[in-house]
Amino acid sequence: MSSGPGIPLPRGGRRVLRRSWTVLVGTVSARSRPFLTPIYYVWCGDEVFITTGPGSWTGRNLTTNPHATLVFGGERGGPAAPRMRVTGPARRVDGWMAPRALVRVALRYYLAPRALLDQLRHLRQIPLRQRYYAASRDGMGYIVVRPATVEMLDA
Amino acid sequence: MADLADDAPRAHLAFVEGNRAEVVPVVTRRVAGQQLVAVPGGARRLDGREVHLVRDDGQYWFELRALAVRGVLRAIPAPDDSGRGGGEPIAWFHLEPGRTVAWDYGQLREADDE
Repeated sequence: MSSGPGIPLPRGGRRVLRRSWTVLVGTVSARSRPFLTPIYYVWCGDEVFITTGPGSWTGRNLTTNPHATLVFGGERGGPAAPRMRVTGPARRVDGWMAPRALVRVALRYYLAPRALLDQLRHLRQIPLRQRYYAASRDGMGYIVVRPATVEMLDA
Repeated sequence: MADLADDAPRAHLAFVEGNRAEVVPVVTRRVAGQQLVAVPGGARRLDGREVHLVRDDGQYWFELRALAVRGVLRAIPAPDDSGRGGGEPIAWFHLEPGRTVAWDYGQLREADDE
């Protein structure tokens, strides 16, 4: 979410974004195989920042096929819950996110009251989380998708 | 993770269409050890196609869980109790599973290398 998308959204789109915590990111590999994974995101202006590194499966797929399909919503309410599908060109970026996006990621996913409670409940695992990230091959970076099409999916 | 296989809060399928990833919401069901997938829209064209099925749950980091299965869809008749007699057509498939990856961050622990 969601400082607000800088592009027009279909009716109900903003409501879907408010309730959407992980976006499903679809990409195609160099061998033309589909890949899908849920990832944290923030939507800033006319770009969606996705918190996965250049070395992740998603990041590597984008080197040969720089296009992503995103589906927001559906976390609550089962198959009938509203969803929004976005497609557009995507690029891998090395390094830290721009501050405006990084702050939103921190506020939404790590510093919100429920996020803090979640981490308090798992204090002993936080060092493991740090090691998990350090050991990953994802690398420091993120993905940026520039929405080209936006549509609501029928329930 | 069994609950994700049996009754996932959210399930989506990705497949390749025109060199791009198409992503659609689906309903999954496990019957006699087989994974069944219902695709709204009557997508019979998916018969025999490779797909990536992801079922996931959770909001904050240690709540995040997912079950991702790569496999091939095989069209099957609708199960007897599949409901929805009218309305939008639904195509049913059996998923022939290939590689499966699962994660549950709340269960993160030190790996036992022994």
